[in-house]
Amino acid sequence: MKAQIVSALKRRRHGPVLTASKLLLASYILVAIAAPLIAPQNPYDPLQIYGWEASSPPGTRGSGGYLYLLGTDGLGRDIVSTILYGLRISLVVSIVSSALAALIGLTAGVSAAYFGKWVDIAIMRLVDLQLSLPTILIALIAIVTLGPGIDRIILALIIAQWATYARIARGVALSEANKPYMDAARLMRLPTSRIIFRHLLPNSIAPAVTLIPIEVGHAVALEATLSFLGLGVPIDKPSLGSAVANGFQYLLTGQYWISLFPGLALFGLIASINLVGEDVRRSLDPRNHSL
Amino acid sequence: MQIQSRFCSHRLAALLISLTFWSGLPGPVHAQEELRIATSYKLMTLDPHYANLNENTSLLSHIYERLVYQDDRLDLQPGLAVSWRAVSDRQWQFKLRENVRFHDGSPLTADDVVYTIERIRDFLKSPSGGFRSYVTGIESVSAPDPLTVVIDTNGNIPNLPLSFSSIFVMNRPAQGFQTTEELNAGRAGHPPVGTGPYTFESWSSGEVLKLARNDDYWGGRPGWPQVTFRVIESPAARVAALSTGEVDLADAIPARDVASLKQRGARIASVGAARINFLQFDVERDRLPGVTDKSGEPIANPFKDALVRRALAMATDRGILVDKILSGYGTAAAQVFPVGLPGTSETLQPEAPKYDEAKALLAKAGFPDGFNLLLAGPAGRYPGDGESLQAIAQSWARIGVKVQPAAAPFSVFNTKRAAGDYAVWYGGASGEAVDIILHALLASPDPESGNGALNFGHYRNQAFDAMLARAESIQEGPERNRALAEATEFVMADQPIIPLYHFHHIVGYGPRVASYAMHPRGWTTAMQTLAATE
Repeated sequence: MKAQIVSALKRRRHGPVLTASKLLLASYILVAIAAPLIAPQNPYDPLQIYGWEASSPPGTRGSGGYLYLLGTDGLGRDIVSTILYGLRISLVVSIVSSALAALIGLTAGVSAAYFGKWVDIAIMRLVDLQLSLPTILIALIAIVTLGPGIDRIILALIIAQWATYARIARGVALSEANKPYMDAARLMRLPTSRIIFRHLLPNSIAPAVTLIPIEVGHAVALEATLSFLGLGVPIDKPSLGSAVANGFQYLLTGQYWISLFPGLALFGLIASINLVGEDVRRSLDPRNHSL
Repeated sequence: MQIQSRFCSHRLAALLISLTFWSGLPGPVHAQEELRIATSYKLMTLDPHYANLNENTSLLSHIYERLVYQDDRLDLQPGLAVSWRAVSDRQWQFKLRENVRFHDGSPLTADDVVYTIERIRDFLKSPSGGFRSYVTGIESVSAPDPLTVVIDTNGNIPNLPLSFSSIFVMNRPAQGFQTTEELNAGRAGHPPVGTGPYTFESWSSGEVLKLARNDDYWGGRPGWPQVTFRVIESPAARVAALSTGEVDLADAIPARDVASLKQRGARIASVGAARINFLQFDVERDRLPGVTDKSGEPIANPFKDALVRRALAMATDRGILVDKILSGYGTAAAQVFPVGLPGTSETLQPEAPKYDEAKALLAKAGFPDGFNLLLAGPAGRYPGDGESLQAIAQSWARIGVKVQPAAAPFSVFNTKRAAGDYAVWYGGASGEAVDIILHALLASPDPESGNGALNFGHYRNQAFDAMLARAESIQEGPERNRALAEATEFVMADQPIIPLYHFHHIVGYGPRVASYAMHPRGWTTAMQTLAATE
């Protein structure tokens, strides 16, 4: 699998946009990891925030001795630091939730294909039901039911996203299940869990895995949407989405920087994930390369 | 668990509206005879006695009137009653205005006042926030002649006339009582009939109220042939409606939008509200949710100690709240009403934060390292509410108190507070007079007498109760106001609440309105406008 991805990446021709996206994404991940080291302020620590310097325009020098490069928000948080820390939340939430959603979705889809009968019906009708509703609606219902908090957001995103993986995995697993090696496994009376996890799942995984990079992009957008609506992260720990929301009320007052810069950061993040993700997906798609 | 944040489904919509229609003043000019008002007050009923909320009373005051009018100094002025006097400790007499007619042509008589009191006292079963508390002290009411109302009280109630500055007078129907449902049905049922300057035209619940001029109004011909109220709850959408000229007047303008509205030619009027936003402590229970020491272990209720309350008050930077969060459209508070209104104390002035002294006090109370707490509050209910929680968290961090701010939609917040889920929270209160707020907020809670209706922290101070009771037994006037101010000074030294600010009511208006007279009670009415002449 890993070799496949690596060789696929090598085979792709790199356009300038793609190269730029990859560089951008890589730097996003780097600064997110290094945020506590490079951010001038910890926007989650009230002692480091100077309320009197709220809504300072970009370029103001703050009491902390550093420059508010992109200004401060309505509570005095440095926008640069808010973006860096918000980036961490956005990335962690979306990557963790996409990975777990893929795991759960794949298992569910493969189980549905393997067991058939009522298991199949039960799982797939649930999937149908979910896919017939907009993802944002599912996520909204989930977060309202679960309550706020970063762990709840991850859970809500998993609930919103697992169905897509389940449907694809089931289709692949159905065709795999009839192949001779599966018959052999069954005849050897291997335990069901072993058959599913050691044989069926690994062989059905490829098409579903191609979805993950795209879904990470969706998850970032979804988390931002929930946070913008005030349903996501705690108010004193803004993610990119809630950083945009914090400035929304100032948008028409001339204090554009509170919303604009987190918004641009979010835009760049989603765009680069989508471009890189699409590229990875194409490389992994079996139809795109000859055997 | 942490509760937080603002669910604002209207944000996106408001953003789109404001971006699409933002074209500057003046906008399309509508028929010159109609005043169009965008209001945040969501009128939910046409029954003037159903719920005592600004939402209802502000709009319904066009149709109905009160015996007594509260002017912009909160002093009492003649309304439907031209004069009133206490005949004895337990009897009041009101003289009604002559030649006042209801919209259906029938004259206003003393019997209508009797009917109004009976309807509130004996007939309506209204929810909390109802008018019944105004009439509980009334033993009997009679009408010896058509223009005289005599009220016997079951105790000495020196501020009875103040109650009548809230009660709208209805006219007695042929038989029985008018039900809330009949009134709410509008034209299909019994449309509301009052003596006010405007008559009822139509209403759709929570959306539009249309009024027409009452040409026979006793106070002279009202300024606008027609008045339309549109309920627009989203502040951004109200601002947008005003800047496009879609409406002539919009209330509850966010302070941050004032500058850009002025730039676009709108004019702004504002006044310090006769109300208070504050932090309230639970001082009754032994353990409180969310209050722990620095290692996360639950601790005994620290707010029982006045030193702790005092330390937190000293470490609260009201300047940031007022200057930064409210953009200057607020007054730092040290008592329940802005200084200058009747019953306020001149000596109680908001203090600048004193972190070192506060930290020393906290150490004296046994918390040299501070402690952790969850500070709850509503989001989007009052100007600056959610942001205030975070600004206070910044202030209190300086004395070692680690705050987890938790803002929730008001309905959620209210339910959770009632369920005892909070230890310390942000609240708001308003009322007709200082003593009414003191009574509701700080008097020892007693469900039977209705004392301490907003004293959710169960603060009890018998000495203060006695001072308040003594002040309230004095006739309206300087002596009563002085006694109220002294009671306030006395209780504030114990810091049962931390007064934060009195936000300003802000109204914006377009070129068709010449001026707007603000009222500290925060009413939005056509009567406060002066039409621009050609």
